[in-house]
Amino acid sequence: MQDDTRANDDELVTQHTKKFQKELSSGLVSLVLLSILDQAKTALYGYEIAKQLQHQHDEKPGAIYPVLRNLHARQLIHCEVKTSDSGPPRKYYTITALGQKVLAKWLASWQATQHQVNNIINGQLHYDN
Amino acid sequence: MGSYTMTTNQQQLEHYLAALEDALSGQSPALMQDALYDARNHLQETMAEHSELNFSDIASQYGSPAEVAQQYIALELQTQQFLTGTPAARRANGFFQPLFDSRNYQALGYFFLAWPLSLAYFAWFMLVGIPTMALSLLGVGLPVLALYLKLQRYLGLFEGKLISSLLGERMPRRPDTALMAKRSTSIREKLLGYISTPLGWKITLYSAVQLPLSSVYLLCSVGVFLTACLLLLSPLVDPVLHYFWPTLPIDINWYWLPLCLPAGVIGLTLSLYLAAALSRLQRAIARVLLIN
Repeated sequence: MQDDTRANDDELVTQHTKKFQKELSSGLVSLVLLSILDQAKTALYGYEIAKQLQHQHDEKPGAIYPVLRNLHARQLIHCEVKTSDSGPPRKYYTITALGQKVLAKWLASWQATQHQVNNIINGQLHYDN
Repeated sequence: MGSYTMTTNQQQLEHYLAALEDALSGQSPALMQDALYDARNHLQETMAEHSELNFSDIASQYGSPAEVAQQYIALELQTQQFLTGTPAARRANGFFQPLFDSRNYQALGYFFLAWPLSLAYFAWFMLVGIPTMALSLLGVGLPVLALYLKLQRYLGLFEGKLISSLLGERMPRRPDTALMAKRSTSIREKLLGYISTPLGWKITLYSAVQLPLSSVYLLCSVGVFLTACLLLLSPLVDPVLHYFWPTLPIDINWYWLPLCLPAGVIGLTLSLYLAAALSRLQRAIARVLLIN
């Protein structure tokens, strides 16, 4: 019986964690994608970006492409289809001037949020001790 | 299970894409085409790079069809809301409403551009399309026909971009590469694929009918719009021009203004109603003929 409850708890914890991670990443993926494209010296194609993001953030590639599509529709990134030697033509992405401006604002607000959240979390820890 | 492992990665990829297409059913064709393009390209690149992995691992890493579809649908909703904004409150001036809707002016811009473009499409169809089709009856022209139909897809993509930016219909932003992407098929099969799939033919039909259609659009929307503008401006501009250049005759004198002003404004409004209706028609045609 106790084992059952524990297994149930574990499952709930996993569910809650997954949900939290999903909510957290849904806002941050756009920021991370724009940053990657901003730092890139050349235009990157979808697969390269997905690979980079997967290494660092364990993000599922299936979730990255719709965000790229969304950023493109919002004119924050530019996209160009180029033929490749192997296989189908690839879509190459670069950040637009608007995207760079938006990214600067996003980074500022991200840093402010980070600072606030850290303050609260750290304050909480002091209180506990 | 045995038969499952027998299926090649390529077949499993096609299964995966079919499941994704199912999960996206009911969405706009443009969204489907983009999502399928992304999935196909990514999965193929991964398969090529990690030949040691089996397809189900690669696919589960990419995300299940349901998950992926959900992402696209959720973000599409966001994008649409972002692009079109929350529906604006209707103005009280019911009849003159179209005058304040920028989409109608964009539609006029499209109709203005569409006519010369359709002339070029028609010339391309008559000078290249028809001879190619005639040549293909002899058999030797089949590769040329396949090439022509392949090029038509790019024409469709270009026209789609114009339509999505000026008429606001979501059109594919990526080429439909299902045919090009099949690595296993031979060149012969690929060429036959272009001939046997309807998209190239549909775009060919589009390039043939767009000229008469765009002539009607130009006459009914831009024509009426410009006539109404002239009616509106003549009583103001004509006497001024006549004052400086007395040889120029006055078409409509200033005392007609009280009559010309309401008639002109009504004419402008009507032309914008026509533009909106024709834009709906053109969007419906584009949805049928330019998307796979």
